[in-house]
Amino acid sequence: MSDPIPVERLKIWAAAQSIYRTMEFLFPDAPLKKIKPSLLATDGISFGACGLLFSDFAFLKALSGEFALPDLKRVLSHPVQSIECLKRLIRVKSLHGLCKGAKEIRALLAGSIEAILTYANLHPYSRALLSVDQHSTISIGVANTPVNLLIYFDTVGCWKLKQGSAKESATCSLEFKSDEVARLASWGQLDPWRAVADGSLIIGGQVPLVEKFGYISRIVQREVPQPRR
Amino acid sequence: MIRKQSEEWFNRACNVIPGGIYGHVSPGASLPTNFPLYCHSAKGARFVDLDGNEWVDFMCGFGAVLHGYLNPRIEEAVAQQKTKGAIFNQPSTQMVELAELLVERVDFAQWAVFAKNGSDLTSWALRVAREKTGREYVIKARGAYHGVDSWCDPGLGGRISSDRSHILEFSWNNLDELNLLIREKLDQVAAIILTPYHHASFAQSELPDPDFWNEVRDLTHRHGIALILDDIRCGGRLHLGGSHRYFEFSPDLAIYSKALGNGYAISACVGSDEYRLPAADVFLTGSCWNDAVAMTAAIESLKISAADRVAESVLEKGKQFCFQLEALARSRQIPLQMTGIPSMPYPWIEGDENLYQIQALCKCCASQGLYFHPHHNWFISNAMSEVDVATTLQRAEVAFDQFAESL
Repeated sequence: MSDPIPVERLKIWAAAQSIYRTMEFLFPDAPLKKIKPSLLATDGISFGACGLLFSDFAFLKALSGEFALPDLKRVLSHPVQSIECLKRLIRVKSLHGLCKGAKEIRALLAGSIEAILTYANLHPYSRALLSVDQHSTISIGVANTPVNLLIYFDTVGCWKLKQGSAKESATCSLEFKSDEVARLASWGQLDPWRAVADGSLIIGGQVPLVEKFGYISRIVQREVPQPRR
Repeated sequence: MIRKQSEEWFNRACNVIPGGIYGHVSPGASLPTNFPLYCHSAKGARFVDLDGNEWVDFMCGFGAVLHGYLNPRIEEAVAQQKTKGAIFNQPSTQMVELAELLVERVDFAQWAVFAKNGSDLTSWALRVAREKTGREYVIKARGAYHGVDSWCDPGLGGRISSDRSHILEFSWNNLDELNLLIREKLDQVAAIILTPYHHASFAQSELPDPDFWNEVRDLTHRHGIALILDDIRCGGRLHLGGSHRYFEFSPDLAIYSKALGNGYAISACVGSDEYRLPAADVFLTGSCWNDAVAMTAAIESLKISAADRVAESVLEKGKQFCFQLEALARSRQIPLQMTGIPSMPYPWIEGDENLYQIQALCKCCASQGLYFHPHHNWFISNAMSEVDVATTLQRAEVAFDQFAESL
């Protein structure tokens, strides 16, 4: 892992990681590495060396749906890459208004989970909570669909996400009853306690691990701005 | 199983209560869509949920009920006390009577104090130990539950880094690790707080190794550390005189609650004479803690425990029941083991570390009206009759068949 990210900038990094992860799932064949986000040393987030560059403040504003300008010098010096990056960002944002089909829901879920994993990896309290669970895996899926993701702890010491396998082999599992429930969860609009009780969200396996990830997801929900729908 | 009423009330609850139902009875902690969300009434070893489904109960209000729901002797005593009142400006004489009864019953106890919840007194007992020793650190077993306060609660929110800065943990039965902790914090450990045996949730229960309690007691004596027994869950279910008698050791302080009042909220801490003065110096109070009704229930409950030899009875009932349930499972190639002490057994399926199988099995049982919790030790009620056991086994047979077919 590179230098630790200051806690106050974690929300920016989590949002950027979430967006990039969504793109990866939406455009599996696109050369996305060119717009991979990086956090600048003191202020700013850059989507690739030639893509859009935002100050922390502008990026947070943009996430909240307010008008925010990227760095104009970058746009003018790399107009094609900037426009390409902008198109992708707009496509990701559109998922927060309309999202249907397995591919889009998987992408939306993956983006939401990536923000949680950023906190699981870098937020001191969240990381400490999971310190005893590093041999564990979490399966996340949508019932009766091919959407199935797996959270695991990789060999370099980070929580990561990949397309999943059968939930029974995971340490614990979460299954959304429908696309709609998965969408609401990704948008941060699902009441998890109500959903668990009414069967909209089915949990199984080592429930304490589900609770930990649920708790971290609520920290993320509180701290990381969600695009307005 | 119909759950319409339960669900309607839960929806109402979600609007006005965070999480709808919180804590250990929150839906997510058990079988969210299989167990009822609300209870209506209970008697003996059965309860009826809000939708009118009758369940054979194996949780006893998570241990709060030992002599059966609505035990007539306790309810009669409670009804009489209610005609006089519950809370007054000053305590009632029941407080003295109850303390005398506990001091007589628990061999090492020379005084007793009372509160409402187990946590009230586990946290207070740590402070008494700190007052006595002038030390700061407390050692507990990893994964053990001692209450809802920030030094030990199993929740995740509302913590600050200092909450647990003086709490050390070791793995149950690992005396080397315990020794190391004590050596590392030489003359700084005020107390070791432990349950009689390790009955953590989401894990099979672990009994103490043969030398465990002797070693722990020896260590605490040698290092001037208070040994606090959290007997909240086990109290009354292992031995009439406290669970330390079952495992043959003697603590300095012990805390009881749950079964003490047979469903009426009360907790007690008893201690040896050495801890009497420190106990007097650690502030303890609560507006409703001198509740004469709950104390009356506790007095009657303790009397019944002695008269009916309840600890021995529930141990024997549990032993018979666990034996038959395991045999039933074995006949269907289900490797079910009832771990821990038979009066409060924890169900474990061999090879099921991630708990999917026990969850599936308990779901099948729930469909037959058996309240078998997949993640928490069960409690055998002394009101459990032969008919209840026979009914349970008949229903379990159907449920185990369903489960075996689903494999």
